[in-house]
Amino acid sequence: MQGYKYTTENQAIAAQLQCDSYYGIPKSPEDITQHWVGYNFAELNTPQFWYITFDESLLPVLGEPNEFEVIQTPFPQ
Amino acid sequence: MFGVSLGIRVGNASISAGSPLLLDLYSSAAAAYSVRKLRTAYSDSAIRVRRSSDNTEQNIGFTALGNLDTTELTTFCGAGNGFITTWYDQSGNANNSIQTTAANQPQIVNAGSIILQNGKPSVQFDGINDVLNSSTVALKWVIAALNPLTALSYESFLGYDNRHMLIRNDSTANLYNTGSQLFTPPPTRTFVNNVLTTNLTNSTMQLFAVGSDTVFSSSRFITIGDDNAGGNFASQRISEIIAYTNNQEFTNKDGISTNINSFYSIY
Repeated sequence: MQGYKYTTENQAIAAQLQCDSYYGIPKSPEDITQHWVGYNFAELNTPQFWYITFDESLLPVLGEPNEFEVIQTPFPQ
Repeated sequence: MFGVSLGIRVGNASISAGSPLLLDLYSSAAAAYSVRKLRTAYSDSAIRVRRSSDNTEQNIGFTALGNLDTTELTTFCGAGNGFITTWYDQSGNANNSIQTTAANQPQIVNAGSIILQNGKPSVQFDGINDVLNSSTVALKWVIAALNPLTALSYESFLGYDNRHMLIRNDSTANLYNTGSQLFTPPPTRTFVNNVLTTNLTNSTMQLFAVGSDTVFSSSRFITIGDDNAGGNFASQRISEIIAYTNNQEFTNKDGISTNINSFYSIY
């Protein structure tokens, strides 16, 4: 997948706050929308890491994305 | 005094002011999300929408006839896009389904036009990261009107109970229940892994009912669009989901299905 990979959760949160600041989110205190983008934990990968999935709106804030693999939870049988 | 009955016909769905709505007839829902009004006593909004032009949010309600107020919605969104931040629960239990992250919000207006399925407004999930989350509740039966879009691997249209999937798609576009049981339209009733499933369909929309005689779990409520664990996102349009704490399969299922079909023209 394309995205932004971080070794610590604090790095992912900092990137998230950069995006919030760039897009002015939240716009008002009563809004439901609190962040522009979310981050996830690749718990099945070794080593584990945090990541943000690529979206074109992130280009001016986070720059060009990287390509990496995230292991998905297997379908329960 | 004489009462006045106001009625219109939309497609094959006859809507009359004063007629009982779905949850008036089949009460005790744990949660109910729809683009139409489902309960006469419900007086809140249908959805809360964020518009792309400036990220302002606004609640969108129903018309006097119980349809989503599409005029209010398109006026608010203008020529831009509209994304769902909240799909309000009409059951009275305040189990609203929400998404606080802009990038993960499903879409209902695209470039000034409302997204439609079978001529009715529909909430579109991108299959990448769109998902709506609601609060904890125990349930035994769920019915949903939806349309799978692009077939992806391991899609979960409705997630529940920490990674179990109520409805799933794969690269062959087949649909399954939590026990990997293939849905075979129309209409079928199967019993696998303590989960009853039925499916009524046409080429553009599908109606699913999934139930169990035992509560699936009370650990987490439905996520719409993923597997309840932040993965296996589904590419779909969904217009209505109703969840009950009691199994409706052998009691009210046919009546509920007929009511939904009369509005969405599914089968």
